[in-house]
Amino acid sequence: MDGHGLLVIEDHAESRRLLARVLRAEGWSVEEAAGFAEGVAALEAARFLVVILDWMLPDGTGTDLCRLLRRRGDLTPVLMLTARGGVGDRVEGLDAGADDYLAKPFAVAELLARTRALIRRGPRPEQPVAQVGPLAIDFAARTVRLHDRDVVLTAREFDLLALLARSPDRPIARSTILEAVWGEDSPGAAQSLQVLIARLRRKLETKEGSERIETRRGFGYALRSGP
Amino acid sequence: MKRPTLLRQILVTQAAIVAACCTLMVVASLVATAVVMRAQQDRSLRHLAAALREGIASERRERTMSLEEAAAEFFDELALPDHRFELLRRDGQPAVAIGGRSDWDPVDLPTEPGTCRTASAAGFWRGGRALRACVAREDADHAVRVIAVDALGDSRTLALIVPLLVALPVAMVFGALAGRVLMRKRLQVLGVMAEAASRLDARSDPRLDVHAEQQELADVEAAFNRLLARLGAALASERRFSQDASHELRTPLTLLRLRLEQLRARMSESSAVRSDLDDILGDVDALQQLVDSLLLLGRADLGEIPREPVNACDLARDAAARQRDLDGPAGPAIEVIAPDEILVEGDEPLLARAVGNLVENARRHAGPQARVRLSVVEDGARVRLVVADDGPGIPDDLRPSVFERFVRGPRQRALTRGAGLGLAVTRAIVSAHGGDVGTRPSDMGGEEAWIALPRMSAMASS
Repeated sequence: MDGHGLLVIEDHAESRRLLARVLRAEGWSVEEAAGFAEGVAALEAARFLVVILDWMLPDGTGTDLCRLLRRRGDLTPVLMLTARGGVGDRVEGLDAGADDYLAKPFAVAELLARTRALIRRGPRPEQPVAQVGPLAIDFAARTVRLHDRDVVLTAREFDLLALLARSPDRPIARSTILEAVWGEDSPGAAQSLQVLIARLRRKLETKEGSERIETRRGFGYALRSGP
Repeated sequence: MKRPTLLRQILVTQAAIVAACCTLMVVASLVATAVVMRAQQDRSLRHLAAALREGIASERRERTMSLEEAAAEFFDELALPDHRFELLRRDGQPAVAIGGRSDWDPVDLPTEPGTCRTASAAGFWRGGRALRACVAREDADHAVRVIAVDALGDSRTLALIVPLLVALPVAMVFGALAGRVLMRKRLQVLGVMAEAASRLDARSDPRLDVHAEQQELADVEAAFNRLLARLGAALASERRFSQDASHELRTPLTLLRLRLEQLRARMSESSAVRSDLDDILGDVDALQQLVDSLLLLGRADLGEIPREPVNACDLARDAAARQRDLDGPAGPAIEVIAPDEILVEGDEPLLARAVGNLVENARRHAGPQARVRLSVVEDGARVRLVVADDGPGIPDDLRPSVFERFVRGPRQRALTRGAGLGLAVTRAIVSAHGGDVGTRPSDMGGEEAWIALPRMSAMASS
């Protein structure tokens, strides 16, 4: 893997200190930055596994920093934190190139789960559109085409497919999927995953008939890249 | 009520103006014609009278004869059709009268020398003629009078008016038709402006971009855009306030949570403090929910709803699963009856919250042992998501107000710490998605609350 450690960019000193402490307690090395400029400097100096980025910084916004990062071709996963409530903000954050989004106040367990999921997932794919067999997945527009037909997916179905499509043919563990897509590994979420997989399979069915999403018994699921 | 159109009003006004103008022109031209014709006739009658006097004088110079004889001689010589020449005595009676027609029935002819007058037009309207007469002095006891058909008194002069009367309605009709074509084109810009205005949405910096050429319309457009700008500024500042408030409230909550969790992690499993900390974390959750609810109800968090496909059936299944997780393995049954997929459009976390509130409410209101059933059915162009329970139901007098803020049932007030915002939040979220909420007695014996949302259009899901 490319980088090491985590970078926390947060202007509120108390929050930053606490976040860093929580993350260090999990065994990660954590660097801290107090603002936009400091964050950019840290990102130029080193590579990180995940950047945890606050939305509101005194000298710029988190979304701007995210866009700057992506324009420079830096694909480090970004987890956006926000205390702003707006529904539109969540979309704006993801549009700016953030990989995940966490609204304050959050439970430590969810922060850790999402951070772990981002680390396992690794840097986002360079191409905005991935071609996996007959599937064309547009990560930016969040749309999927099967052969020449649009497939309508809900947000969660897309997240699941995108996760599997990032490493075709390699199985992804059930727990990783639950943490990345649901943010929790609960019995309820596990049941939803089964329903979701069944539906995704049906939506991705082609005339050839063979299963696109394969079950790896006792472990998880993989997206087949063959025709 | 059907309103008159501007086009129609303009055309009616225009027709009225055309009619008035034409009438005025007709009258004016008739008057002018009359004045000119009368002046001409009087001049020629006076010339004739002068000529008669001269003629009489020259007759008498050549031959000695009485005035009457000379007049009769000369009048006869000069005789003109449709004219009568008369020599008047002092008493106004004609001493000599030559010419004229038998059906002339003059009354009230002028006798005063130097005057011209129209005789009362007896029988005029029956086709008779008015007569015009001018009198000139001959000597102390006599005057010469020339009578002719009055140029204006002939009913045939009325024929002059006819073409004008015909021209008037033609002008009005033609004007209205031409006006209709031209004005409609001019007025199209109003339609364009109305359409542009109705297509406006609350997105960044809305304004009309019609650029009307006409000054008045450009003024209206500019005023409208100024209004939009003011509204936009007010909205923006309100949104900024909500965001600041939300930030200010959530930052300390985050810190509180993080610190509590840190503290809890350091306590041993069996510690009494740890269970106290769990309670405090529960309180923080409740506080956080309250803040979220208030911000949602203030619509601070309901800015623009993303339009993503959301599976309403998953909403029901997930809500049931969450409640089962909360209830634990020994909890009462929660049943879900739903097909695999019915899509709506919107924001999944918000909709999940709306449904979750209904389930939570059912559990809380119907009691911990009540059965809860979630069902999702297609209902025409909408999808209906129903949460039913077999609890005591809602008292009839309370039913209309359950979706109001801070309304709680008596049981809830006594037993639980909910703020009474859950259903109000549900309603706010659902109506932001273009849907409805309601509640009624359920077939399970308790109450059922329902959400109806527009289904994602078949076009988009094909």
